[in-house]
Amino acid sequence: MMRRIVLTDLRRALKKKSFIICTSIVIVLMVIITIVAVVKPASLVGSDETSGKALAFLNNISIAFSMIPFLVGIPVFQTVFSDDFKSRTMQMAIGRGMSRRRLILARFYEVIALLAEVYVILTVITVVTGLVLGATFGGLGVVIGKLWFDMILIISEISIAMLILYMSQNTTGGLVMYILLVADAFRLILVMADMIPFLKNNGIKLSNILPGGVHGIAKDYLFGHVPTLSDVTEIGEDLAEGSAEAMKRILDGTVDVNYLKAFLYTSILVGVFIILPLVLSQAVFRKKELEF
Amino acid sequence: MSEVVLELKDVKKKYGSHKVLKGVNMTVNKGDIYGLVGKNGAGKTTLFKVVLGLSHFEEGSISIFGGTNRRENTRNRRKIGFFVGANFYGYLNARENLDYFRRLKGIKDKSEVDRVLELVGLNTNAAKKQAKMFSLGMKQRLGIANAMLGNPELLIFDEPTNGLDPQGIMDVRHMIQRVNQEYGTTIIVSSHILGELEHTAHRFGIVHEGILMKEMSQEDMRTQGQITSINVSDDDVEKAVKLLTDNGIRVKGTEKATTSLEDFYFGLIGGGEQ
Repeated sequence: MMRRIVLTDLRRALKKKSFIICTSIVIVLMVIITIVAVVKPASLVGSDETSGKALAFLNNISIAFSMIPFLVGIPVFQTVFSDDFKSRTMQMAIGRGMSRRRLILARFYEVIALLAEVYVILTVITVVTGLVLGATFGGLGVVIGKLWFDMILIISEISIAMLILYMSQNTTGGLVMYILLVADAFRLILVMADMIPFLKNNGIKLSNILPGGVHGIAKDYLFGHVPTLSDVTEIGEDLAEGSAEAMKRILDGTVDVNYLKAFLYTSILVGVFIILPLVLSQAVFRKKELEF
Repeated sequence: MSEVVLELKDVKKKYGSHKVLKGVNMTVNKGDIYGLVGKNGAGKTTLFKVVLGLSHFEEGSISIFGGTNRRENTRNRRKIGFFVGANFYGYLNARENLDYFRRLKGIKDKSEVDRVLELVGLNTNAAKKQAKMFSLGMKQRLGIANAMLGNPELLIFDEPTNGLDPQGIMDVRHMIQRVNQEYGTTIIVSSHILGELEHTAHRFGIVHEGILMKEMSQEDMRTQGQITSINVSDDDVEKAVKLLTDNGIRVKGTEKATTSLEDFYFGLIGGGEQ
């Protein structure tokens, strides 16, 4: 029954105008980035394997992906949850014999499916364009891998927002929480708190306890050995002082690449910021009164 | 003995300190059209929500199609179609909404949508606009159509005629009777308009302030509530009253029989009972 509910609702969501429009905006953004990379004279010096245009394209691609939490995450949230509460379709499913626990899971799977759908479209565009412009499979793999890793963070932020949503039965509350998380509002507050001498002296970083912090640590352990494209850009243009810091760490062998730690922090991210909020959502929603 | 499709025993429910259901006992037999009567706020909708698992209750037990525990009741709810309030996507039209719910309910037969649209009279051009543009009556009809998708064994209608015009009320009444007779569907229908159910239901439950005061059949109502009337002409009323009183017969009251508004309305515009 859960699979049926997920698929039925996905069909509806994929036809929803606001979702289509926002996804299209991200795709248009990708196209613009591609055109800019092709038309503009190459500002980056390519290597034997990768062209300068490909580097420029891959450098800018993260702009399109960084829009996903806002341009796709918000409509996904609205399409899956707001409609559910507003149209009371949730009551239909529960009244038809679906448990509340499974209903929440079904909605969560829908979120992942919708996000993944957008990611797949963008990935295909990135790979095809990148190859046409002269990027290597290896380079593309790293860029795409990093971007897909960011999806875990978006999912964790939606999962936390779901807890607020099901606790308050108010979509606005859930949406505000999601926006605050993706805008890094909580993290910015904690970054300021990190400046408190006691915390600073003891090496305690409160900002790292949020999903963005844990995700950042895991990402560093996983992709720390790969210079970012901005590193490459800076190195290419000017090898002066701090600009080559990342490259220097790599050359010195001091970069801390650790797949085990990456796995550990990713597990924390998934366990604490995805599974736990989901389980709590199920618990708080178990006896909630559902209105018609 | 009739098969019981729904049984509530001493169900109690409160919101904070306010007791909404104060020990409801209710039995609905297979094939019944069960009329749940009570004024607004009597607890009818809460009763339905409890049955559908949309609201939790503190005490008592519920058995749906013989279910003896929560798990069985949850599973057996798949045999229920219900209309408790408007529930659909405003940006989809009637057909798209019903098609969504058809899939949601796992009904493979696509023609089911046309069947229920016809049943509630929504197979018109007007139904092609977005549901948010529907009149209250059309929304009611769409909700009823949704409940009937897939021919469920038990139908629950909460105030299905709210917002309908007299012809619409009559249509719903006929539809309920038709579905009950043709498919043997058990139907629970609530209303605060007594006359509405009197014409439709086989059995009645009267809810008042969270208690099901009485359950009775049409037959019980006829025998228990019997009043014999003697018709006399206007000019003879006083004489008749005097005659009865002189003979030791207490006259409870006199009233002029008139055509009901409903009869008058349908007499004037046509339609109504067919």
